[in-house]
Amino acid sequence: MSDSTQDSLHANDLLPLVWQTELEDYIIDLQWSADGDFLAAMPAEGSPVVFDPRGSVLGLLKSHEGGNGSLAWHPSKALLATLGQDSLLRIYRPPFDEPAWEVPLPGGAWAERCAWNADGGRLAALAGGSLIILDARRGEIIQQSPLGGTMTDLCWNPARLEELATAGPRGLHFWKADEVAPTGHFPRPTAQKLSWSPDGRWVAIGHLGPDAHLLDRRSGKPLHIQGYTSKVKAFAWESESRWLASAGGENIVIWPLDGPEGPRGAKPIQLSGHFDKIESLDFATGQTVLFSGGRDGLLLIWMPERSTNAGIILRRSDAITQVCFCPAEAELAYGTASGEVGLCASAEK
Amino acid sequence: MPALISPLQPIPVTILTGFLGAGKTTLLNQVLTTQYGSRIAVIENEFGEVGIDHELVIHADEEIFEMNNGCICCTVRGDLIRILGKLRRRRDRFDHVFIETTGLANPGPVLQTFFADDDLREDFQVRSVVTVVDAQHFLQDVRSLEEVGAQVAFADVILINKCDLSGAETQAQVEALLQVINPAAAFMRGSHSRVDIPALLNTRSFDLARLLRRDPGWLEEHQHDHEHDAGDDKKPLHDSSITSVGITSDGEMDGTRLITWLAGVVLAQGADLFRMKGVFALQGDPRKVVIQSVHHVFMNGEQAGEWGEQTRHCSVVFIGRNLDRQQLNADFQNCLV
Repeated sequence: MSDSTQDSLHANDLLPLVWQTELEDYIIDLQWSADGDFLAAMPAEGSPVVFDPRGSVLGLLKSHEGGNGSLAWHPSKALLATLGQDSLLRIYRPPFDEPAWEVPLPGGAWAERCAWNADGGRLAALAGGSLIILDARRGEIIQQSPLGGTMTDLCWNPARLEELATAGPRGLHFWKADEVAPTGHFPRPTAQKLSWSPDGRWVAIGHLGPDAHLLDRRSGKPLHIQGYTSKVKAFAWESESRWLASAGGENIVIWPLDGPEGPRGAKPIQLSGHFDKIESLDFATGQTVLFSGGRDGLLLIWMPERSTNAGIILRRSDAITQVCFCPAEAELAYGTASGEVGLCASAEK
Repeated sequence: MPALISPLQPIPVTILTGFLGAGKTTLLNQVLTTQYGSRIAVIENEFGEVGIDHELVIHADEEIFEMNNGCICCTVRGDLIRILGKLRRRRDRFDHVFIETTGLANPGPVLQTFFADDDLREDFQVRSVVTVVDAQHFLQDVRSLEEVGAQVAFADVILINKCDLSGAETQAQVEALLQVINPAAAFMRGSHSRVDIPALLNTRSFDLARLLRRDPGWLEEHQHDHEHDAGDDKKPLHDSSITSVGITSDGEMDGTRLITWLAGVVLAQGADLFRMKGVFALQGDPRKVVIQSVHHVFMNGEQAGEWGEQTRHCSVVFIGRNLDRQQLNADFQNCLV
């Protein structure tokens, strides 16, 4: 296929819609299991649902009273964690009927984020003003750290089992799973969104305003990224950590990170195609193909190494809130503000 | 470029403030029990006996943080960002958001939160700040706590409550002082927080009609602040330095000079400037141009229509501390063409 053909190709030819269904509410989280056998979708309210790749419902999970928070798949097993405003953390395993465990998180606060560490031995949760870390094998809380304010995001270092970061009104904190006090601090109080590079070197931080930081964990130096038109709501890493895609407003900015100093001095690739703010980004597994969903209802595909043109995968009448590429197959799941969940898959499969 | 999805109308927000015991919760209960067709989501700091099971009531922790290090006025409410972020995903379930602040809170951070976050700025519109004042105790409270003055200063609507418990003379003194602090607010009187609820909720972010009213001297008449006496004890009516400067003039302004001036005021004095509200006739522009700010932040422009046959004029009110009336007047005059 020539480049020009590629550029003008209507992307529906690449990833046609295979199935779609409606859940009860705005899709706030959408994730594939590590082997790609299961897709979990979480609406803002109502039952989270586990699908198989053909769209069959495998499990209707318990909704969290007051509203759902987030979900997280174990990095290698079919274990799914959910939490929400009822301050309960639930772990499910196939056949996804009743929770295998249910852990009331201390403090009774809204629980909004959870994440497994790289080997699945630890599960961290943010509940109100506390970071809570569980020993995932025993289902026991091993650490609870008061954070002095409600945290907005957390992520584990994919390359170091015990290290994680949290973002909140007192800035960014780094933690070790077995230590109550933080091991590092980046005092920027408006951090809202975090994403750690697969190689563990970089932490991307989105703020309330139209700027971001990229922290180099190797040198300890922060790089300040400005020029977005709106707050950065989405990050996505290419699987080898060579590219960071970021979206703040209608445009995507891709930073090359393969130089010795990362993005310093490098020219970013800028991609324009959305008409409204971008809500979600994801790279195709092992490729430099990028997907984006926005408030304009467009689900777009980008091949930034070849062209800055976009292909349209889908148009919807409401915002595409989540895009998530399957780690095992050429399959792209999406969720919308009205609760639609669907799958676009390679016709060659 | 064409929009694929029609933008949704912003969700109106009313911020309810007032000192402890002024009657905020009573007013809130009335808002929730008045059947006027709007579904209301309530965010409250204090656990009141709301008891309305068909309404959405959310409790918030008061988590204030600074947007920028070292700038104490650029504070926002982290908890509100989270809660409102969730509400915007459920916008089909309610028509109006009501935020009740604590009695001791300065409403500035609540107000600024709507302008600090892109999503909130886009999806919500602060319709008004409603401040409930206890007519019986206001003169006493305003002397002892600066927050009471700040609550009045930020108000778009002031409900003078508990009028049944205070004499006419006290009410007159209260209103006179309120006019000194915030002459641009709309005033309502009531007892047991009983007011015209639809009128209260539909009052726009400031009483534009009042600001535009061709009432000679309505601004000037309140410029003698700090000169009132509180009656027998001859003390100033309030000890804080919160005051207002109102300026009005027939004619038009040069838009560039006006923006340069206001941006300079907001930048240099934003920490002391609680609110700035103005309606301007700009040279070559048929519209009434509305400009508002909260501390360092300019608020979204309100639509006020065109001047038409009306006499074109410019009016502005500054509410804050340490305002230099003479300088503001001079700068205002300099913008006129």
